[in-house]
Amino acid sequence: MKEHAERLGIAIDAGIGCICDVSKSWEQKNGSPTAYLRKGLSVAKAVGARAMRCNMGSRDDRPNLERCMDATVKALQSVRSAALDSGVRIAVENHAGDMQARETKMLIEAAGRDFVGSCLDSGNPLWAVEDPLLALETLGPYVVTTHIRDSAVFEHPRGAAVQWVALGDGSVDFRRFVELYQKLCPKASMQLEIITGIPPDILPYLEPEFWKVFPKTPAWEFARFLKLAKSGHPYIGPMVIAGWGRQTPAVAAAFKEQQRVDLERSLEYAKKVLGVGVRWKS
Amino acid sequence: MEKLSAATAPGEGIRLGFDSYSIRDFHWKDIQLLDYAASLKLDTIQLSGLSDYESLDAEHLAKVKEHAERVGIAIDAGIGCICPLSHGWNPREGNPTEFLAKGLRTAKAVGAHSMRCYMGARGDRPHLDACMDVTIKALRSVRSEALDLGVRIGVENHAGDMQAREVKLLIEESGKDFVGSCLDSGNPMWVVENPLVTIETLGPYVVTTHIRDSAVFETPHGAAAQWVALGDGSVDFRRFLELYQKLCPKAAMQLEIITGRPPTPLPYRDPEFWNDFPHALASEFSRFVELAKSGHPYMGPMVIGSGGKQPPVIEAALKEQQRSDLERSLEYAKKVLGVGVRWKS
Repeated sequence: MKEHAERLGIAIDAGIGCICDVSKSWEQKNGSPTAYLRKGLSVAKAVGARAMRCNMGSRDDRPNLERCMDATVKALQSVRSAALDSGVRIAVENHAGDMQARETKMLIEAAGRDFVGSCLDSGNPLWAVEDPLLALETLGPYVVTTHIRDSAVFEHPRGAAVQWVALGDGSVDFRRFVELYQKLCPKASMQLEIITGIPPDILPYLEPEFWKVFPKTPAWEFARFLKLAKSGHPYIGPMVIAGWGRQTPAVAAAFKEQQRVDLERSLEYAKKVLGVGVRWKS
Repeated sequence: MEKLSAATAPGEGIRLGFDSYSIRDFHWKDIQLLDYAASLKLDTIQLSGLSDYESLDAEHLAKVKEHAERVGIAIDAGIGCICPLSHGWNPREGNPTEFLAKGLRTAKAVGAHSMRCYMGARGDRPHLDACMDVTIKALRSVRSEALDLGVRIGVENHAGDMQAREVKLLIEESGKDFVGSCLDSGNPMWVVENPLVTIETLGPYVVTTHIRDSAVFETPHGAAAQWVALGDGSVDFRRFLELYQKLCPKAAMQLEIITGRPPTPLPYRDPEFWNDFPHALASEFSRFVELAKSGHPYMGPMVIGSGGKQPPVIEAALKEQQRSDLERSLEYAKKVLGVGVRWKS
């Protein structure tokens, strides 16, 4: 694989999944977090990668966030020397609403920023009522790899709602995003992670219970999200919206085709509108 | 799905069916459509276009009539655009009088007592008065034939061509003894009209219907509306049914479910939007604003096509969705609204 990647001229950023054994996303088959991280680092090194993405959990873990963060820091610290020896930096993603950027930054600092950084995801901050520009401002100096996608954000009677969309179809100011990116993390690859076809997700921030899992969120940060929601509107273009569950064969086939179509038009937007990419220009 | 007891069901006694357009991509013809309706324990069906028939031969139409009687499904008939000034007019139909007469004869032959038709679409609003004049003339030209055949013509408020007040005027001008309304509950969105205003205005004239729900919500430019399955949208169908019971309980509730289309922007905050609605009443429009303010976008799964030719896999998914959304809408009409007669027996 390493040879093939070199021949094609494609640099690989590597990745594994959940590394927190306290998280609801943890898969027992991976043994222990340390063993799993070591395996990932070994694979990353073997294919010539210098970054390895991983994640802590999801928004379901926010009720016991501190325990999850402690366990994740411990897991990361257990592979410090292996990571440093392999020359592969571990990039912890702000994943599926598990952490706000401030929390991810704290986790990186606690684990050791000499071998741990950020896999900055621009879609997941919305699940944690966070403006992706704020996430980039906070995590930019730590970014080693990315997951970039756009989101349609809009007000809803219960608060706000958000739907992930192809790059350019949403509410995020990606021109500003790329300006900040240039300033804060220009060496990190912009890896598009396009996830379309999921219905809008309601963020019922007008309901007091919503805030139980965000007890320490500063109001000024939330205000940035509010501004985004106020200025946004629902995505009103074509989309096969199928949800997360099992689909009928006809819908599954349409959904599959959409993945490729939406990725390719997002890449086109990144190239032609945002000017991202090196090789296509030569 | 919150079910109602028979005692509180607002749809009690109203006959339930569907417009064949709901499952258009299946390309089923008359007999197959009737059998499908019967399999769903419906009371009625609207064959809304002449292309729904395998043939317009008298012998075949007699067979359709007999089959409908055998399977216990009452037919509401239908044709398309009857206004030669409209963008929707098909010159192959000859002239509006011939087209209407053909439709009326077909309706009579299959035992229908109503025949749906329409004037145009929102693209015709810039010359609305001319279109309405021509449509009234066309309708009047078949008055005696319609009365003789015992078929009432139901003019639909179609694709944003007219607001309810305008349809009412057209009916009154044509002659309410043989012309009535095919009340569509989804199309009012395109003319920034609350469907409750539509039924309040047209209820006394209704002879057949096209019923569907819509998700309506505010946008920076005004509002947007998306047609959705019954129960998935913003329209208060309990209230709608109360009015239906009061104003037109004998008309069949024909579901015309159209999903898979993106929301339609209604930029009423832009002054140009109003060029096509110079006579719209603020008192009516405010009811639409109220609806948009209280609504929100549809947040559920839906295959949304881009219009025009789709990739084959998208077409296949859209086709499947037509049937599943019609069936779950019928289920909502039965179990939540209590509409339909036969399924209860």
